[in-house]
Amino acid sequence: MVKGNNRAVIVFILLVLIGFLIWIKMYITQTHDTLYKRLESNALQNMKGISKNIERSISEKLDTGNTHTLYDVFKNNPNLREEIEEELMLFISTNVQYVYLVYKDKKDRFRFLADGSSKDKARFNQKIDFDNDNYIDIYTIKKDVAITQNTLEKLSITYLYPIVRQGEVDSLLVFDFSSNLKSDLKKILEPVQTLFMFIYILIGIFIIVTLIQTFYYYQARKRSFVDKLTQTYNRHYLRHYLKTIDISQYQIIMVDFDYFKKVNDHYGHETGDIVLSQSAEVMKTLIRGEDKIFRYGGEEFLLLIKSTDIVVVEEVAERIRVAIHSYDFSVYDMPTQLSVSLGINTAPAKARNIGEAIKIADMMLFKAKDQGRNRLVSNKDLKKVYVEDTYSIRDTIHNLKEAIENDKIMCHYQKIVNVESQTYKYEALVRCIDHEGDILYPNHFLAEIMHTSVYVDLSKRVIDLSTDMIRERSISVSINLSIVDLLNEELTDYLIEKLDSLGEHSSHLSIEILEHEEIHNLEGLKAIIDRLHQYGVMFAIDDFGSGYANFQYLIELKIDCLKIDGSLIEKVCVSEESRHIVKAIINLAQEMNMLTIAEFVSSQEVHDEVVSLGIDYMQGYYISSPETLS
Amino acid sequence: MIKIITVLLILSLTLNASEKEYAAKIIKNLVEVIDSSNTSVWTDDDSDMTGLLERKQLHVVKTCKNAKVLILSSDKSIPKHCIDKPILVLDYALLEKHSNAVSAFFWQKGRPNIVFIKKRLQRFSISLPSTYDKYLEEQIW
Repeated sequence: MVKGNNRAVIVFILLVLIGFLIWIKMYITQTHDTLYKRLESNALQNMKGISKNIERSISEKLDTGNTHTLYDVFKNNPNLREEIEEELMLFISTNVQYVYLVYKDKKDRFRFLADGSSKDKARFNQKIDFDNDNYIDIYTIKKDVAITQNTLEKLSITYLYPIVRQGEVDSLLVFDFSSNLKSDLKKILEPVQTLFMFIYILIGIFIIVTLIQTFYYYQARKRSFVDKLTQTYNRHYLRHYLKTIDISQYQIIMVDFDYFKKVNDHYGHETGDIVLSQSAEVMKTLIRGEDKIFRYGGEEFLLLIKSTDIVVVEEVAERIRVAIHSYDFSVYDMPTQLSVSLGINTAPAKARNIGEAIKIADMMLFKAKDQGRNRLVSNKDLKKVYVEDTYSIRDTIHNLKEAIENDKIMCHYQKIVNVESQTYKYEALVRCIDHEGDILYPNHFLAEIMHTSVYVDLSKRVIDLSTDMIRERSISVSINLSIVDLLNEELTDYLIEKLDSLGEHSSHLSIEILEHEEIHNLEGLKAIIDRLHQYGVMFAIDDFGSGYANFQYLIELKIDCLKIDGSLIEKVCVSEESRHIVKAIINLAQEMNMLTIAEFVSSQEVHDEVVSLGIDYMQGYYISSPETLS
Repeated sequence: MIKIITVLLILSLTLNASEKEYAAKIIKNLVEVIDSSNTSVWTDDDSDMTGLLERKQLHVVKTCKNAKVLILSSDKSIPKHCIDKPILVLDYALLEKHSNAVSAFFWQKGRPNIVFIKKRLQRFSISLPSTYDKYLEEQIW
């Protein structure tokens, strides 16, 4: 593809070239005309000399004092007429086609006196039809005249010379020039004109080819900027477009379909495609000409709304939400109503760059999903956080996203053993390798990426690594997931897909539920735990004994194991209260038919103590530090 | 190369045709002057004159007997049963050969020329519009 600057140079060169050729063409035409006029002038000048000689010759042949007209003279003396005709014949050439003498009769008709032609010879006194008044006018002006013959094919110019006797025009000496004069000149200039004709053709072809190429370039460029399915702009164009606008005049809306995977899974991808294209059409009708819509990802759209008024943009977003939610997709055999979640970045110009501005909109979108979907969330109230916060959050999100894309996420595995020190399973602990190759621990990034799509991507990566490990080594692996993770359909679908791929080894996976948050959707959580139980997946409550809602989990969920919080275990030898709580938890677990794991087992004393309390499994630096299993 | 030659050939034929077209148009006018009543003509011209005249909406007949005006381009004798018909000749010299030649159309010095012979017109009771007076000749020179 020709870049913009190169195209401008090519167009400039073409214009100069065309201008030059036009100038050359005009110059040649002008030269042609000048040459022709010069030749014509020279020829006529010669004719004037010749005519004077002929006039003199006629006078000499007549007796001195003869006052009769030439008509009378030639009528009475045919020999003299023949003599004159022979003289005229001498001037017949390639260019001078006819030479003859005519006179005007009483009825202003011209008649031959003498004809120098051998071919097409006229008789004496025979009439000749001239269709031009110049012939008659010479009798008045008494001067020679050149007439350009435009209507006669065989003649180019007629030169008329008046033969004056006794002060009056007696007759006209006529020289008819053939059209050869022009064609001779044309022949002289023909090679040059042919050369230029070829150059014109070449330039013409060059221009046509350039135009065709430019046409195809813009066609291809247009195609490369538009998403085929939705006929909206794509990310490629977004990058290009963002360079051309002042982002401070815009607000960003990120739109994502809720549970779109269901549509694809239940109704097929074709239906999913129709939904996307129809929805895109709906959205297009709800924005103005100066706004732009881009297909940002699979079912994710990004809208650039040209307005600094937050209310306006929220109204647009709400209109889109309502329109999609109320759109009747049943015509595509889809009984369900669809909804979208929307995240708005009301101040994209305050971000360090446009990438970050989009991420903020994406974070708001994630919040909307987190808050129950089919809603919009903007950062208008959170602006302070984003403005005053250090850029570390953004950097973390960016770096982690990069790490996921570049396969820089890994897991360390920490052994969990039984009281006989036999390995029961491994806990997968996520690590990130930074730009310098150093390993970053979750405390460096987990909190920052929580509630972003990057967090989901990271969880997926951990699932990938753990299931790969199960498949390769036939070991049991435990992973940590939050309640939000388990309620994230995209993530659980992904997990189930992976469990399906593990086959009989699917029971080698355990999930430790991080109890950081209150359960909002208990039914949903129970359903997914039940579903995963069918694969033999075991569930443990992580950090049991700290946080809140511990007992609600035990009552409502089918939990297989309690992982006693490390803060209790590490004090089990020094704090009577901790020892009592640990003992109580173990007893409770035994009563409820659940297993127990003590984490943070950091010494022989702690190990012996928890064993004496009846713990089932242990984990900690005393037993094994987290490490790679390669 | 063949294409160029073909184009030149067509061009030359077209140019040639244009002069003939012009002649046919004048001939038609002259014939109508000689006989204004939906005249039928006969010509001895072997070239494409017949077609040209027909294109000018002149009724060209195959035998001179059925023609009201004859158009002659050569000095070939005409059938006896046609000698009493008015003739338009296409050469000045033919005016002398055919005593019934009332008019001539011919090219002289690259120009179209028209001649009507006054006495012969009178013989056929042909009256000439005044616009044709400048072509009227008392005699053949």
